[in-house]
Amino acid sequence: MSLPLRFWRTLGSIRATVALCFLLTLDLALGYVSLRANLGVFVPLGDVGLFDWLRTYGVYNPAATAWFFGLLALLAALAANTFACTTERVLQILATGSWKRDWVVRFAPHIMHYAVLLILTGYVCSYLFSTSLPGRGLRAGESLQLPGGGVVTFLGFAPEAYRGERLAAFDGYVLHANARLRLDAAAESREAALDFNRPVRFGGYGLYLNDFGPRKAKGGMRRGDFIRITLRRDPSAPVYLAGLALFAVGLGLYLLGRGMKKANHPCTPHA
Amino acid sequence: MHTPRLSFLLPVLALLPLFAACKDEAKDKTPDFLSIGEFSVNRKAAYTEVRDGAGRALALVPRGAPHPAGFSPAMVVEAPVRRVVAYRPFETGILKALGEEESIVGVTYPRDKWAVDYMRRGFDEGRIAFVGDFSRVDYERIKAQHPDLVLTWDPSIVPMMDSLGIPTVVTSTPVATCLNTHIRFVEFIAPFFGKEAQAQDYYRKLRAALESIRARTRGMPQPKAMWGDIFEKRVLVEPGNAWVSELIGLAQSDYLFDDVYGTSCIEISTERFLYSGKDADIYFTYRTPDRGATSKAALARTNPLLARVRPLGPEGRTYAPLPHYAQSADRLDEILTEIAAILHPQAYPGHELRFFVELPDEDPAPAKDR
Repeated sequence: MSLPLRFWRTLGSIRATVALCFLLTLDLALGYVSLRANLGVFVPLGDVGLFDWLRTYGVYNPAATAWFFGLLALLAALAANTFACTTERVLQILATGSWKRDWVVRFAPHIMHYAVLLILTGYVCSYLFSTSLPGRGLRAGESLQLPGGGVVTFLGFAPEAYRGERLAAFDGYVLHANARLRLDAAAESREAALDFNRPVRFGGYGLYLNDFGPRKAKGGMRRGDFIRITLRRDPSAPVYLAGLALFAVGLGLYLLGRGMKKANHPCTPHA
Repeated sequence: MHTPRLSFLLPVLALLPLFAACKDEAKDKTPDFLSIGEFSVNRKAAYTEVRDGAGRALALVPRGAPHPAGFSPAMVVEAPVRRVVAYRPFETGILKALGEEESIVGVTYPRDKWAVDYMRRGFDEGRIAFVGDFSRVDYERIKAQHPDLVLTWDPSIVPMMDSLGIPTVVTSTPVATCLNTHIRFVEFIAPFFGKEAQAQDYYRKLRAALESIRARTRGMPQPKAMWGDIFEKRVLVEPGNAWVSELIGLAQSDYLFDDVYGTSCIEISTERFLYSGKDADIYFTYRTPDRGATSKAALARTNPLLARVRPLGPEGRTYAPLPHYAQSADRLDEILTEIAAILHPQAYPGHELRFFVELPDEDPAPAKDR
């Protein structure tokens, strides 16, 4: 066996997969502990980008981040292993197959493998190529100009507050801020509600809510309505969305194959 | 039988120890990058990029130097800063530790609330102005002080400061700062004033104090402590991730709100407070004596529920901070030591309290009744 072929087989071996999964588990266990103790080191990762983060927070906090470097290396190795393993199998299927339904469904797990690789690639690209403008504050009535054009105006809140006696101390606290934004661009003008885990997309940017005030619908320390938002442009979002779609196709094919197997099983009663 | 061929993983694993080596190297000189909890300082060729507690990036440039691209005028600070408005007494204490108390030109506490001489003197000399209570600061007054920088814990003022063109640094964080961030916060402030060397001296003093506390309290029996208060409508405590909680843990003691996570001075339910209160040996109240914490009985009168916590009874101890406690970040090493001495009086025989007072059971009788 030639050296490149031997390397290719080793790269795609199931033994390597098991070893990598074991090492990943070990590494993520360390990561679990480290993340809890050093959250502040990892929070900026979403804002500054992967390379800048590795150069700064990563390198200067080695005790807290070594596991993350390990994770990147192990994920890269697992991706290579998955690619080699699944490509090897796909080539075998292609060599033996014909365009029949039961032959096509044999690709299902491999489509899912490729989809996972695409999702991982999308996330890496997201960390590498996305731009983020964190901590932009707006008071009610104020506007913000987006770098590529378009104006975001914070109109005020339509808050939903907790009302109840079970947690009396939190009565009146805002559960959903529902910050009302007016979004003006040359082509469109509309209103949108921004909340935690409910970003608004506008002008090629994602608008994410970081903080808002006041936190209490009535009373408390009222210092005027304000929001703090992060603007994020992520050109690689279509890549991992495509990965998710491909995964769904693979999963659909897999379920179809399972259905066919069940229908063809000799013990299956036929109508 | 085949053995798994993992040789291609060895380079990855071999790289990990290299990162450990970076740390020792960084100790020898001022590193180009510092992360201090949520805060960071990143020294670049033409400017220094700092990231504040709200995740905002600001550029520090030498006075008169061109402003870097990508930063609005209110996001560029010309260093060294000469005039600063500070919201928290903690920041004024840090500035004192750096020898920069003369740079303070505005605060959110009036003169009579200050218990430290250098702040009162600043008011008397007309250098320091009261810019309004934190809940309703007077923006015109801030502007009139011509600050180079505003240090605030309140992110809601940032949009207004931006519109006034005044650089603002948010010094609070979404969750309470840990002990490490608390003692290293000076390293974040120092580059604004070009006082990195003084910051290192201060930090070393605090490290020494913590090492001494660890050594003196090792093996001691663990008292149970709680830190918070029941106010008229709210119950506020220091969460388990706050620096006081970590200090109590470091001093071989059991912090009873260790399971509470979140922002400093976090609100919890009355039941939770009382549940821990029945086991506590030592209670730290937020109230100073001038705000009613003159005795255990006086505290109990402010809210009868408080009387149910064990330290307010004869078998426990209750401590109130003195007014200058929150204003003495420049003497943080003494404060850390004092908290350890309260937790373990047997480890600090003869220690005299300077920042806290132990509350008696009853207020002393007025002189005319004696």
